[in-house]
Amino acid sequence: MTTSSSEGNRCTRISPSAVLDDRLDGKDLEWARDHLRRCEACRDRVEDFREMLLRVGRLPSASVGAAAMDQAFAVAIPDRLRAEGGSRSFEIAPPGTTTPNPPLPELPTPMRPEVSSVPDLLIELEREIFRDEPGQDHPTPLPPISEPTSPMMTEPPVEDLQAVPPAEEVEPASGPWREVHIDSHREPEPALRDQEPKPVAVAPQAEPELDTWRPPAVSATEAPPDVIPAATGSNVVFEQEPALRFDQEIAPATPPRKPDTAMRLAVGLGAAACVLLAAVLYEGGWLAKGLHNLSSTSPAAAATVHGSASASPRFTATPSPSPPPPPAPVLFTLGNGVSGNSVFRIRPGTAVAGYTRLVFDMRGGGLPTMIVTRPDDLHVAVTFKNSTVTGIPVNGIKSYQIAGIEPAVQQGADGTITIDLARPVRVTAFTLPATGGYSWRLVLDLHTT
Amino acid sequence: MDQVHVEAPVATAQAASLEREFYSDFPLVLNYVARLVDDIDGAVGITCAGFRQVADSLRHRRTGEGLRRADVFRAATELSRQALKPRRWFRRQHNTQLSLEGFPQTEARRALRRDTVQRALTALPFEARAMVLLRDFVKLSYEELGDVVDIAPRKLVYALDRSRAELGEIYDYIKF
Repeated sequence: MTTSSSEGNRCTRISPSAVLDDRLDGKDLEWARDHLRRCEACRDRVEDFREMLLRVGRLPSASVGAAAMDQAFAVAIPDRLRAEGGSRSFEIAPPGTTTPNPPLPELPTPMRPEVSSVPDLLIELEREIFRDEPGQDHPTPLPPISEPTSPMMTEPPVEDLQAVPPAEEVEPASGPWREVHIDSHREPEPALRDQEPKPVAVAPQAEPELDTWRPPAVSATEAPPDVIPAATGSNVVFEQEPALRFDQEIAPATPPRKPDTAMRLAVGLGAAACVLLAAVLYEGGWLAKGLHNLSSTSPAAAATVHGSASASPRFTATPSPSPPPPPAPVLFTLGNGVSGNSVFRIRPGTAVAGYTRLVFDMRGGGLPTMIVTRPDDLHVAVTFKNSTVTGIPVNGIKSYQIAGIEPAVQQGADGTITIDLARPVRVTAFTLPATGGYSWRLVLDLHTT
Repeated sequence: MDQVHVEAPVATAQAASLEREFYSDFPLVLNYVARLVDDIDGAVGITCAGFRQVADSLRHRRTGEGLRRADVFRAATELSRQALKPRRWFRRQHNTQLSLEGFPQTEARRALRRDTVQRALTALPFEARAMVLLRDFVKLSYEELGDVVDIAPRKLVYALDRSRAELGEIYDYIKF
């Protein structure tokens, strides 16, 4: 199998995977061999693929202990298959020998909760979601509310012991509510509740609103008055209201799904608001920038621009009056003094945890004089005497030790390349002669101190 | 006196083969899933669930068939994909982890550490990652690989080419 495409100048007529995985035969194989003999690009690609293949193949594997394997076997393989290998063939079922028929009782106990949870996750999730939603949509979840009241009827007696004096007949319905309320906040509320019905008779119409606002209504002092009319009302819903009014704890019990939807809506609205705000800010910034540009055409803005421009020359002028910085400590002086060289590439060499290697490739008849200096702790400068350094690609060279490499600067005959360090390092340097396909090289090792 | 040993030979043989297949394949599948999801703790549950799926499906097959490796890897891959699927914000996060007795020991964690190759694998798209791992790490045959990833063997070479090339590019990019 070969491909007939080519990427730019690079030949890609050979599929490296076909070669490495022995998917070629006959004429294809002959052709591929012949092509690989002649095409260096394809040979390199195949070699690259082979290296990557070996790297993945050599990835270490974690060993699993015997106990863990046994446990996994018990969890993963159903009892049926485990105990009686062929029992799944229900027709085989040796008559008397296959006595153990308790797979059904056994399955649910240890294995179901663990194993079934994994594959059925999404199903369960969706089931939960869809179970929630109908509850939210239908405003008639009152029957479900009545259900919890019955179990709670058993608990109120405990509270009734404490609040024996107050009402007894109507209490059973409100008993559970009051119980939660006492736990959560204050005890005096029952008394307040009894007293309050009388003063607050003015807000009967607000009751429907109260229904909706009960969960959030945290103000317990204002709530009781409203509750009392509800209690006096004859509707069942009103009977529930007072309890809701008193306790915030109860709110989660009856409308547990409402807050959920409310929260979802709130989050959704909040997200929409954020997006809108971001859009407005973005547009505003854009507009502001446009306005700023427009205003910059005015004389006043032009003056400010000039002011900033005047600052930059001043900034460049400052180094000249302060000559002390130039004497940066010289770390190494290397080379044979050859002139006319040009540095054409910087490449990171071996990536080892302890250090980063930078290789400076040079064209020319030898090594120029190279001075490695350290202006400060976070910079290393390499000066190539009588050499050209402009136009060297320096983007993307970063490592644990290197924060970046500044674009090369040509100062007269000399060129300087400054390395920004991410942290203080120890520098070692050496040179290599031109051999084989390699040119003259300066090698800089930046060791973590 | 001749002693007669009475048993169900077929059933025993099948149980034995099932057990043998499980014990031989489980570590391999577990390591594959751990590399695929880049999470050794979550890999246990996914692997067990994959085996469970395949074992449960055996009842619908002809008697005599055991656990096919390709089926197990296919189930494990699918479950891994689901596990990695981004959760909707309103969906609850379920705890899918299953802990085995003393499994993720220190050596296991060290073996599955995030070295450069693992980081490059993690950066690959899921399908490409699964393909590279199944072929180069698990060393499945092309036929098995085709069964797992649902790609015709003829197209598999090109898919592998793309995946490996992408992995190589990512590796070259992040190795420093």
